[in-house]
This record gives sequence, C-alpha cells and structure tokens, in this order.
Amino acid sequence: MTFNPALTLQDLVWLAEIEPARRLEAAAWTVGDSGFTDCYYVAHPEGEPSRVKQCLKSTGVILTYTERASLALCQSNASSWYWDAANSRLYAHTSTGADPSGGLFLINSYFWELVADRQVDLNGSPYRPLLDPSSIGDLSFEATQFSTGGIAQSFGAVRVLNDDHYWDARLAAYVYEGKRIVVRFGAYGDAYASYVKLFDGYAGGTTWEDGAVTFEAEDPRRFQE
Amino acid sequence: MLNTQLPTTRYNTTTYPLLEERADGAPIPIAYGNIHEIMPTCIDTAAQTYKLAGHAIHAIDEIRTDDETLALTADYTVDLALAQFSILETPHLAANTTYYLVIESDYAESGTDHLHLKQFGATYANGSLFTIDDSAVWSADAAHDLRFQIYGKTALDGQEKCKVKNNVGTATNVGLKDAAARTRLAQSFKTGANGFYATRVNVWISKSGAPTGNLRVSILSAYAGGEVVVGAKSTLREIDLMGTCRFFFPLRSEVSNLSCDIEGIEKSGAPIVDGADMLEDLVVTRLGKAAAILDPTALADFKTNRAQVVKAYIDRDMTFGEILGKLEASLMFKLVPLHDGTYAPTVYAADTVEVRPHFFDEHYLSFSMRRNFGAVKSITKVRYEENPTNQEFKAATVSSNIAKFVYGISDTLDVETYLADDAEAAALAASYSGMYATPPLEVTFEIRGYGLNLVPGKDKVKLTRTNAAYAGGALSGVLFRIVKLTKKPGTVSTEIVCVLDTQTY
Repeated sequence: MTFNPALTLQDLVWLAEIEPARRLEAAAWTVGDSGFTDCYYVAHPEGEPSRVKQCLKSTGVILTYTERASLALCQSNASSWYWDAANSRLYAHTSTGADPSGGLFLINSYFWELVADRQVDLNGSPYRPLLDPSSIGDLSFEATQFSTGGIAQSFGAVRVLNDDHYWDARLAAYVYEGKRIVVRFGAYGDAYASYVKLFDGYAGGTTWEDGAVTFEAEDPRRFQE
Repeated sequence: MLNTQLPTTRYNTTTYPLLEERADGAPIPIAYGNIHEIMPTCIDTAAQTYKLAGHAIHAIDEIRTDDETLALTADYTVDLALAQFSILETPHLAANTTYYLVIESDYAESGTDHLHLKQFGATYANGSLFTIDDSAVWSADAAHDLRFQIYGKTALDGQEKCKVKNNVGTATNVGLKDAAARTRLAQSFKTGANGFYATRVNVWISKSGAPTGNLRVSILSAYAGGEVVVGAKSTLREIDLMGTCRFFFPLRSEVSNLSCDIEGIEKSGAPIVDGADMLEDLVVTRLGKAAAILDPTALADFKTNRAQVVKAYIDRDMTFGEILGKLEASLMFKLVPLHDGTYAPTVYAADTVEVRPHFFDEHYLSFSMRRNFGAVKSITKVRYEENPTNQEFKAATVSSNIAKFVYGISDTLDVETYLADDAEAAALAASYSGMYATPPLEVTFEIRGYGLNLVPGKDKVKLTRTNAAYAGGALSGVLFRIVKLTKKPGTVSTEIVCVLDTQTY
C-alpha cells in the first residue's frame, strides 16, 4: 500500500507484533529418547519459537541456535533446535551437548505476540483484538543539522487492552523489555504483505493497569542485534 | 543539614601567615580511615610545618619524599592533635659552641661482625671521643679522638666548606657495637668564629667480619640530662665497602613532593574505619548536631550489619548530602528521616516480624504496576580507595549475563564509594549487579487516609490483589518496600510507590 492523503478515511487495520522471550534455563528439560540423547526437550505451549538463543555463562558468549527440520538433524548438530509441532515440544541441542538446565547456560526462546485493533487473520496467524491504536504515542525522527552531530529519535508507547487480564501472568512469565516490537497498518482486507511498517524497534519498560498494558518504545539503535 | 558544605574550615594567611601560596582559601580536609598518598599542605614555609586535616588524627604512619621514606624523630616531629608534622631543619651550629656528633648503626651487637672507626690519639684540642653504652650512659675517652671532618654552609644556598676537622695523626680503631659498652660512639667538637649549617660529616670506617645494616649520624648540643638533637639526622648510609664514609644532612629545599599515609579521626582511641562511626562523627562533630537525632537502635543495627572498612579524605567542597549519598552507596543503607525528627540509618533486613499493613482489593482506589527497564545494568563498576593526590580510584567490575543476554542491555552502573578493601568492593559490585540484572517491579497504588505513618525507605507493605502482573496473574501477600509516599489532603488519600522487597536494599 502506498500512502495516499486522499484515502485517510479508509478503513485501516493496526497491528502490533511483539517478540517476547521465555527464559528456559530453569525449565523442566527432559533428555531425548534413545538415539537423540544430545537433545533435550521442554513443553512449549507458546507455539513454535521464532528464535532460540544461548548464553554460555562462563564466557558470556551469545549465539543463536539454528532451526533444524528434523530431530535427527538437531541431534547431529550442536547449537540447534527443532520444533515438534505434534507434541508442542521444543528440542534443543546446546553448544556443548550439556543439559540446558545444568547451570551452564542461559537459554531464551522467542515467539510472537500478535495483536490488532480488531480480530483479523493475516499471514495464517490470528491477531488478538487487544490493540488500542488511539494510544500509540507520537514517533519523531530528527536529524540534527548543527555541529553536535547525531540523529535524534523519540518514541511513544504501544498500549494494549487488558480487560480480560490476558497480560497479567504473561508479564511475569515472559520478558518483554528490550524485545522487538513492530507496528504496522494497512487497509482492511489487504494481504499482510501490503501492510506498511510504521515502527520497528524495541519495547522498553512495561506498565500494567487493570484495563491496559503499556509497552514503552525504545530507540532501536540501543538494542540492534 | 544536607546542604551544609564540608569541610567547614579553610586555610588562610591570617591563621597561617607563612602558608604555601596554592593553599590559600582551600578547605582543610576531613580524614577518615587509613588514607594513603596524601599531599600535605605547608602551613609554615619557614619551619617546614605541614598540615593534613582540620582535626586530631590517630596516627601518621609514613611520610615520603621523592626518594626516601622519612623517619619519625630523625627527620620529622608530629603533632597529632593538630594533624601536623614538621620536617626537621638542616642542623644549624652556632659559633664557638661545643657539639657532639654521634654515630649509630642498626646491626645487632656482635663481637665478630661489627664496624671499626678510625681514631687518633688525643690529637683534637677542642673535644674528645665518647663511648655510649646500651643504657645511653656516656663515657669520655680523653686519650682518643675520632678522625672526622664536618662540612657546612653559612647559607643553605651557599658554598660548602670544611668547617671542623681532626685529620692528622696515627690511626687506630675503635669498635662500634662490638660490645654493650660501645653501642654508639660520639665525638665532641667546637665550632669556629662563624655559625654554619652542617651539610656533611665524614668519618673513616672499616669492617670487622660481615656486619649488615645502616649507619646514621646526628649532631647533639647536649647529652647530660637528656640528649638534645640539633635539627635533622643525616640520611642513612648502608654498610658496604666503607672507607671514607660521608653522611649527608638533608637540606630544607630538598624536601619536596611529600606524600603521607595517615589514620584519620579516632574514636575511643582507635581510628574510625566503619560507616556508622563515620556517619555519627559527620553529624555530631562536623555538623554540630545533637547525637540524639540519630536513632540509637538503627545506628547500632547499622554498625553491626555494615562492618565494611571505609576511608575518606574530604579535601574539596562537598555538601553533607553528597557525602551521605556516597556513603549510602558504599554501604547499601539509607538515612531515613522519621516522623519524630530523628534519622534512622536503615539497612535491609529480612522479613522477620509482622509489623506492616497488608492491603487487599477493597483498599485500592487505584493500582498500577511497572517494570523499570531503565534500572537494568549490565556492568557494575564499584570505584573505591580513592587516591587523594590524583583523585583516581581502584575499580571492582562485575558483568551480568542476564542483563546482557535476557534484556539486551549493555549499560554500566558506576558507583563511587568510600570503600577501602578489594574483597568488599568486589562483594558490593556483585550485590549491585544482582539487584540491577532484572527490572525492578514497582507498584503504585492509592488508598484512603494519610498513609498510616509509613516511612519510605524503611517500611514495607504486603499486597494482595486478585489481578496483577505477577506470577499466576495475582498478588498474594507479596512483600514490597515503600520508596515514595504522597499524602493528598484534598482527597484524603495517600499514593504509595513501592518496589518488590527482594529488589531493594
């Protein structure tokens, strides 16, 4: 979609996509069955992860696991993961082959929280009707023209509805701070590919109230991976 | 109280007419603990008197110049009540006066390993050799005189000349510390028609056996009824091949770049090295407040729970609030004002007694929760043991994998402290790192009434709420510590901001 001032009254749909992390170093990992004992699995009711990352505590080195198409490939490749959709299990093969819950690692899985200002299905995924688009704060981008140099950017916040307390336990169970958040809009009925990206950055602090949760938006340069 | 400037006294040329120029108007420092590398202020450029602090101190442990460590009594005298010391002057010898040069050494008395000094028969008309035993009893040996030369200058920047000597005769030896009777040797001499500064003494020495150690010469004006040393003693001379041995006296102008190690303000005969005593001294003695304004129970608790060693050399203008903030950061406590006008130095205590209010759903007029992402820090750097001369610190650094990996934070928390010990600074850095690895969970809520006399920083509340951004989606008697309390007379309500108790100190 191309922005057209003449079409400002068209029926727009707003999307917010947030990629929280689940900390898995203390989760109930189980060693894989015979033949797959270098892999460990954990129940992952959040669905298929978007990414899995590891931090080796002794060195602080962070690496991203490679997704594998089968458990056998996961078994034969360190630093990889496999999604068992039938059983909602995440299999992981750590960089050393050690148990992920053995105290050597920090391990995060990431997944997408998809919300919109109405119930829509896009790209094969349902969006929860929890977004309050009127509350999205101003986003400003500014290039300084004087000798001080630098680019100044400021960001508002993304507010989502919490009337049914969807976020209550999730804010404690998952890490939203410092995680990617994308805001898009498009015309109702358009394909996902036609949606325009308004903001692609990172969430900052979170504020919870009975009826709403606010994700502050951070300068993306601060968290660029 | 918080805005009071410290130190409260300053150097000036009215009190110190011969003050070194750079110090005029500068604060006179306050010193706590064992402080190293202090550059003292010269308050009397003629007498070479230096001041270290504006109050009595416990000790001066060491004074160094560019090239040597000075010795108490030999090189300087101290006045601990005034936190001052004076560098001893180059010995000045008056005209036509009898003096005594004394040779002493620090090796153990030995009949086999000792030194010999060259002596003549009674060849010197204006004095004689003395032996001094291990009880400091002097015995004249009228039959002998040491072979010696005394050099001097009529002015310190003048030309050095030989002023007195006994350098003619047939030499024999006299032992030094070969027996208790000869613990030291001395030679009396008489100056000529003009006084002079003694700059050097030459004597002739040989070894018997293999003594090891150092030698030093001093000049006395009297020995009967107590030895009276004139000015500084000579610099130390190591025992080596010997022969003609020259002992130099320090010239005043050679004393430069002084550096001192001291032990600061004392309490009950010992230097103050803990935060509780430092806080009490600051409030009561430096600020002149009544001791009663510090809550005695809290102060005792603070002293018991925060025994880390601190040191502070407050030699630049700071407010008491700035000093207090640094001390609080050093020892993880808060000086909390109480409702009765007293102050409680409060340290974190585990939850042991049920003394707090417990709020439930029906109490809240409003309720919100926040994770303070801005407080997350990846690297914690605790600065400690400041060098007073160059204001540089040591640093203990701890890195948090959780802040870096889970939250993507690379920010640094830089804490300047009064800590003095490596291990304690490392422990503090670890404590801060653990606390700032995750976002503190803050709750803001409003209740009816005026806050039940709760005190931020000290008191805690228990919260229960059916819906909350917490594990399981609810709060059930979870302990929080109050950090802010706003009383609202207009609405007869109170807003309380509190932080999850385990994330506070």
